[in-house]
Amino acid sequence: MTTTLLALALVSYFAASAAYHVQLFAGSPRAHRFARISSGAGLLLNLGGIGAWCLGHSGSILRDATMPYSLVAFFLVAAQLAVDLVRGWSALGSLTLPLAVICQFSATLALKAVDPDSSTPPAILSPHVLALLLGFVAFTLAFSMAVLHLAQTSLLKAKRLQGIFSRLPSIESARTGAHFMAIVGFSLLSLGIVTGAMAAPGTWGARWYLDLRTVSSVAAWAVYAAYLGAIEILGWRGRRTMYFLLVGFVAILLAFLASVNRGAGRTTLTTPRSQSTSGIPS
Amino acid sequence: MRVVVVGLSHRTAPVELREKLSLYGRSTGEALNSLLSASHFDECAIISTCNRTEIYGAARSEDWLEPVLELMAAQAGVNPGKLQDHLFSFEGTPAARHLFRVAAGLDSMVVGEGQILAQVKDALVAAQSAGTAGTMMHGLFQHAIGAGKRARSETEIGRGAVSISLAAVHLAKQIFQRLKDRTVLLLGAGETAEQTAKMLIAEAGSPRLLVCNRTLGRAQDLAGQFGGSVLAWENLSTGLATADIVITSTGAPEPVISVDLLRAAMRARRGRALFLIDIAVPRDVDPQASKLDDVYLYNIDDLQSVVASSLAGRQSEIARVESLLEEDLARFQTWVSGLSVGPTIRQLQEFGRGILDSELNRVGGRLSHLSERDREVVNTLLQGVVNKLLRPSILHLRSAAETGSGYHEIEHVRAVFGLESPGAISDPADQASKEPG
Repeated sequence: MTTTLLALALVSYFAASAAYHVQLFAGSPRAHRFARISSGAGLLLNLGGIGAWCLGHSGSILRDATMPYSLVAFFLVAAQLAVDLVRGWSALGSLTLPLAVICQFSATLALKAVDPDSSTPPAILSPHVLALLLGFVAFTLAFSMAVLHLAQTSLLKAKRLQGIFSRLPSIESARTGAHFMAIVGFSLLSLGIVTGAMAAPGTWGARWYLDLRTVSSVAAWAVYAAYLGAIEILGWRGRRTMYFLLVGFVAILLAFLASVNRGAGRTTLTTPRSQSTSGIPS
Repeated sequence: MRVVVVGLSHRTAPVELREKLSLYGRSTGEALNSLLSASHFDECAIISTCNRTEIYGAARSEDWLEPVLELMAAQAGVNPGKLQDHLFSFEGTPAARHLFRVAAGLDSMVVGEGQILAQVKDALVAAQSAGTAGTMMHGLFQHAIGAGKRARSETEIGRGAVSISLAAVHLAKQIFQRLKDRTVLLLGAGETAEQTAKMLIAEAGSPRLLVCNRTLGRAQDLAGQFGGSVLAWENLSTGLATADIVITSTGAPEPVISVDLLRAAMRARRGRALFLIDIAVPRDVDPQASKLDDVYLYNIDDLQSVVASSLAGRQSEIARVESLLEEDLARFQTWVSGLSVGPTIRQLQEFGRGILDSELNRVGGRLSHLSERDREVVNTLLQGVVNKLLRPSILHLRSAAETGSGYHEIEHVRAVFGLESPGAISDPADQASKEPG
């Protein structure tokens, strides 16, 4: 059941991604409508898949890589669809949907056979994990909007005003959107780091911080802190601030992959005291 | 009854003639009523803009054109023969197609312009108010308005800027999204710059306007006209650091905004975007300034090429729009066919009821021994038989209407049942266009 639902969600996301690209490059309102419908259908299927998985598993949702990937895909598509419906930014979908497809594809690959034991309690999504997953989604949206900002800036500078130009959001909208998402992401990342640091010594031992995901999370936090400092303290605007968001995304992506793989027991720099599949302490 | 159109437009008539026939900006009620009383129209509507005057009608006879022509000639005060040289007319499908093209902006001077759609709506409203629009005009115009909207939403026929001022506004929106609360600096006082400022102010609502000119009196005039404030020429660098949009049109022989001046301004702006619209010839802004980060510099040639590419883009969309219009036209034809089977179905039902009543009256005396209840049973029984006999024909007509062949089937059904003509609408597909002159 879980496999079918997640695979169908993947197909829907893929179709939506293709339709968003058709809309971006050919300006087809029909493709845009289809992309929205397909995204909505994918969300429902994905939600069904997540629910079915949770009912069949216990413990942290990071016991394998399926849920982190699938949850990120779900939140990413939900946020993108909301932005599209409210602001009409179809161009954002052509960046975020392929990322959602990759996440959902990884989720279906990571899916393992589940012992259908109905007595197992539902899987847990701790506030720490939820904050980090939502933070990652917010940073992904900030990254996508930064890319749109840079694309629109380049087109305006080069005076190439045909084709996708009119379908990209204005520079100011992309900037404010990216900034808002960066603030949301930064707040959630800060919350995730603090809650993780409080629980980590008990689970991972004294040298818990010597870990790729912790190091890359803190590095990402530092990049986004520098970005916010440049904006709020130095009053910077424009193209150069967008580069912070690109660099920050690379760091947060690294942190996310390291967390997911560690949670699934594939790569660790340190070994947890008790179990190898408990994921991020919760 | 058939849909017809006669009129003239910028394609067929010079402005001297168009202005004589134009009702643009005036009430069309009186003209519509005189048209209805003097012509062979059951319904009519008039589209009158500065580029066209077109009369649409639901004609009840084939010789509809001559009375309308005489009316138009009398209105224009010209010889009908001379007027005919500049007129076009269509009947049936070509007439409907023409209106659909007009509503979609394909027949406009600037292809895809949006104002015509509102003017088509106004024409329908005016005809409805005057009581000259019935089912046919309402259906025709509603289908045309729907087609016009669809053309604009499903293609890019209405996209892009088609004048220098609009191009500047369009670009400003792609940078700033909302123009409200932005600061516009008007440097110099050229006519195009003034037009662009006017357009920006109209679009933006209430932007802050700074006027900077070497002649203080002219700056004060412009600032007063737009509700802005005057910036002294010596404070230009301050203006560049403050403004979001700068429109320049001085008559200076050398650039008045150098790269160094702008670089200093951009340092103060800390990356806030600056949109420079240089309409002056010779140019007011050093072209090298476009290399600075977050500076978007557009000169008159750039804006003209924006306009040219917008127009070219619209031209390339014409084929797509034509294809959509044909789909909408087919829907309209189906609607017309459905409209014409309605009266025939009603006639058929009345025909059945008539037979039933006459037969009951004929044998009424011989059924007098029956109780009231028994007579009701006999009545219901006979009604059921008549309905069942007529049902296949009615279903056949309805199905033919859905496939667009209602008109032909009506003729067959009428012939079989010997029904009189209810004055049904003729098949638009059978009507040929004709171009007088």
